[in-house]
Amino acid sequence: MLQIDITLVAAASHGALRATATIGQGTALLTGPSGAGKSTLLALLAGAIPPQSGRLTWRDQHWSDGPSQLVPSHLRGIGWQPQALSLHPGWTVRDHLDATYRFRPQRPDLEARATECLQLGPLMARRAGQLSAGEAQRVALLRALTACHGLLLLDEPVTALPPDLARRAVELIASLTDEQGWTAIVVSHQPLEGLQPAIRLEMVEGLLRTA
Amino acid sequence: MTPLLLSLLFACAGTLLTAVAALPLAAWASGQPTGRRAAIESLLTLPLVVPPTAVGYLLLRLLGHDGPFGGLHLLFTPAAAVLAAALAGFPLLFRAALAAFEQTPPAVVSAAAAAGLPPSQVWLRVRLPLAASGLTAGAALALARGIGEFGITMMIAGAIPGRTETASVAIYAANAAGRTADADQLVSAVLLLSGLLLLTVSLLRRDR
Repeated sequence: MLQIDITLVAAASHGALRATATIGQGTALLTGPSGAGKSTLLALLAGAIPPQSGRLTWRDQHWSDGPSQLVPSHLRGIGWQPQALSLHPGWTVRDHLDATYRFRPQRPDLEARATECLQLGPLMARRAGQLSAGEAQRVALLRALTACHGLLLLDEPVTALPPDLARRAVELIASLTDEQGWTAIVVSHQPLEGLQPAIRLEMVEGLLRTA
Repeated sequence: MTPLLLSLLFACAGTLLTAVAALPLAAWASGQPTGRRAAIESLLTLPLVVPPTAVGYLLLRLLGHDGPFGGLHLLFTPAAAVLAAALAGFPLLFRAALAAFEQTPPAVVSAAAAAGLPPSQVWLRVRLPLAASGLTAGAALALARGIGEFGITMMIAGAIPGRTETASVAIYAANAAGRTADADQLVSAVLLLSGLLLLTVSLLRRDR
């Protein structure tokens, strides 16, 4: 259970934002026009930027209270796929997964299944700097899935993928979320084929509401 | 060729010393809000624009007998020459490091943290490697500036032959004494060395 009650004042890098919501287990689909603050909300939940005020609570644990981060990003056990380029160009695909396994338990079955579904097996030794946009998006998604231990934050996860692969990726996200008991927030500007969200959220001009 | 060796030695030691201070400071400054960062950057760039003799004079006051650091007995020792090279190179390395850290895509850094890497690991494995070419270029510039250092060195290290007399100081002395052949030799060596360093910097920049 994720309880959001946060306010962010506008700054150079982002606009103002006001979000109040309680999101349970399952998949939440977050839609809204571009520039409304969807990515900023995910960055707030990921701990990449601190809110100005309010409180963020995950499973009875306060992650942030006012501007202070009580649980820093690396200890939140989240899987986050930002929309911007987020891979380390010098690391191989394998390096991205292994970096996480030094700090979070590895789940070989989950990794194998996700790797297979996203067709990343042959790319494991490839450096991220040499990946195409679609490949990089799949790797960022794979890292988010293998890193996730509770809250999954996906920002336009499949926009660069061909339709059939996108559909399979969305089904993978949905089934892993169900099986692992995750809470997933998926940002998308369009309905995602293969996803029946438990809750629909909408972000309009920095204000979060249930659609 | 002793002055040239001393120049190289002092500049290398000075660059290492300045790296120890400049990298953490640049790392810290890169995380500050814009206004504060500009103030820090201006303050720490001062040695680049203040006349070296003025910097040397301030150091003389600080390190002299009556100064707060007089007890260290650093004046007119090789350590003072290292300090001069370090101070002269500091703004160059600091600015290069700050720029390199700021150019790192924020999403790469925050995604690594979200994936479980603690701050120390994010620095060691993500931020420093991604800034490496900028840092190396900055260090090479600081080294070149250290080799060419004259004003601060003259003020606080003097020109003791074989001990604190660097190439730039020795050129001045050789010319003043009419030893043209010595000056010619030193100037050619310094030209070659500085040219090689600058070439390294441009090659590293192109690499980026």
